[in-house]
Amino acid sequence: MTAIAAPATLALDVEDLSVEFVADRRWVRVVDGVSFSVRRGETLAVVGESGSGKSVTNLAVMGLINAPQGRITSGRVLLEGTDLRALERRALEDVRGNRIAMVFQEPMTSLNPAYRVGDQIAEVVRRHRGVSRSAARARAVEALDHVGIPQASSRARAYPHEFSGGMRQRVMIAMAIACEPAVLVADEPTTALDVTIQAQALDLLRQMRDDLGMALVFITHDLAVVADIADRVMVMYGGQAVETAEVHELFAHPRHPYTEGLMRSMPQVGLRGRRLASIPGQPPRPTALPPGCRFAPRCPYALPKCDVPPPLVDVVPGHATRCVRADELVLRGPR
Amino acid sequence: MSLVADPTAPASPPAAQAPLLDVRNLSVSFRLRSAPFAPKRRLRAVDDASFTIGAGETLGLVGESGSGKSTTGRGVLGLVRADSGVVQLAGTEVTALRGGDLRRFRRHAQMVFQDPYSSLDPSAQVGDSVAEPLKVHTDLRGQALQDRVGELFERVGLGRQHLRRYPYEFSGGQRQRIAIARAIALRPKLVVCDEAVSALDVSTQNQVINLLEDLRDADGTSYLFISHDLGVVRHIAHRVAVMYLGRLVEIGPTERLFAAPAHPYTVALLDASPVPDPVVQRSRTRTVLEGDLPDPSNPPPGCPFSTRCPSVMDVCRQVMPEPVAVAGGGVVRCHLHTAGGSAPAGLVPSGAG
Repeated sequence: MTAIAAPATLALDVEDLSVEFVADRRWVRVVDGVSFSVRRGETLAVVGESGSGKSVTNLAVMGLINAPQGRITSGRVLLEGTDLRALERRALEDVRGNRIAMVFQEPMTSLNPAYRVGDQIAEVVRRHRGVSRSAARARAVEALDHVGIPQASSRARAYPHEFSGGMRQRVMIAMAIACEPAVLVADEPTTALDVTIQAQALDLLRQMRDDLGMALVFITHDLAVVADIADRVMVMYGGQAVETAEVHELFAHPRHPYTEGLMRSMPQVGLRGRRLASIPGQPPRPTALPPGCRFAPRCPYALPKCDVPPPLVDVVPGHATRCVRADELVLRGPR
Repeated sequence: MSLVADPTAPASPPAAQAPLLDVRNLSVSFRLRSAPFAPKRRLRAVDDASFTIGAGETLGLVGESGSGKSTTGRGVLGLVRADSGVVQLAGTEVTALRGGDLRRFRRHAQMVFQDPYSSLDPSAQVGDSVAEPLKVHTDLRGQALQDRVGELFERVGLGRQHLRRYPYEFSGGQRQRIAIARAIALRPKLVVCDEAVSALDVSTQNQVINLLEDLRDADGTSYLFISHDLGVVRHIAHRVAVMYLGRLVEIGPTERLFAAPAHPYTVALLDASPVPDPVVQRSRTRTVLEGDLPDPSNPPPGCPFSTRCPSVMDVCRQVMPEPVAVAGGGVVRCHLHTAGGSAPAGLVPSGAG
């Protein structure tokens, strides 16, 4: 695993990012002041349930929040020291797919069904590297080979529908790494895959991260996958980061009641015949957020003082939580 | 038949007599649509599956996409026509029913699907969706009908005030509760849950699993619980069946299957499922299977798993193994067990607990 201590340069440094969308004819904040950073060779897992803001955060990082429905209201997104928010559209396009790339959950909707996969990858390479057609095609085959597609040179001439789900996800990863980006953002990349294929995909992402020295931002709802791949974890709830920590520290000593609730809810933890733990109620809607701590209405430890919005503060160096009771609570991980 | 009395005891299924559901040698195939003059081909979605479910028992059915688990569930309910084999539910031969008889039979066996947003009519009030099976199969009308629907809503943890709302007004977990209310409206003996909690977030998923267990314990309902999530299946199922490429490769009591899986594919499935604990997960030595599921319309000869099996032998590529009893309960179809009698060392997954 990658060392955490080394003061390596940050590949991606996001500060105070806020995103709003239009709902009911007004602006509603769906990501609220999120900050995180990732070093090269490191994996940050962003964990949360649907609606937590984890995907929107990373769409904003990629510059994919578009007017008029959405807007970024604050924040800096530093990619290798360059603020992406300050870039013109054209300059941003030079960076996207080149220095920072993205892999989505459903490869069938992200690949163009009418073009051969090799040509789709070569197009990315030509756009960013300005090389000849044949050199771009050769690079595409190389990338397909790198991600473990057998007979890459002949498979490069196949169309997306000719690949299985797992192989299609490999093609997506090949396209993302073709220009050797500094940062790879993977949004639920294994969620649609079968478990034996998921294991292959996780191994592949790990290998690509190490081979290319990439920073990997891995968005998922699955704590078991986090336990497998993450170096550090950011837990999101109601559009905010509620806890960030190194992965072993997080599982051994969760410091936010929501994190504890998620961990205790994993079915593997419960015994058969015993009721499964669950978090009562539903996550808040961005249009109707609780005034104080956003988890308080579902929190078993909530007190009157939780009616004031809590800040995200370090409880120990490198471990931050957004809970005013963090010091007095003794929370348990899955073990 | 409460399972709550001793929470640590793996409650054995209450029925040891004649099983509620008896599936024998079920095969289902689909015709593949290809080019106009191409030879007709058939895809064997389920091939010679046999299993039983007792009253009040939950059988988990696991496998990857394309393994035939959903088709098995549909075959059990008579929603797809079987090529061969017999399905009996409480003495009725489902596979022999046609037309009105099949429709009348459906009150005894219901289904809950993965995505309640597409299985509930978006333009109908949810109260009407739940009332519909009662209107079709019972004489309940008017206030009595409304009362019964209200009771059902309360049983699944929703208030009567929700009756006149539409599906879009509910969260995923609430919609799944509504789908369950509709499924249990006629007090069926068997409910087939096809990835019923897979689309839900973990915190709400467990609410629905607890609800399903409460209903089972109160009514003695049997479940065929189809899922790709081994953690959920381990929790809810008394016994587990594993499918691969249309074949049932292993079946057995949950405890035994997870502690001592007999089929190399079951081992691979358990190995591939990550454990939510970084210390345990990273210290596991696990075999990651290579390759993909073979094309189901062109399965390999012999054992369907032979193309990916780490323990493959020559015989596996030629002959489909016959079912063999496993020590600790259940049946496996694997030549490792037919040839030598017991599996070689190293066939137990690492750290699957």
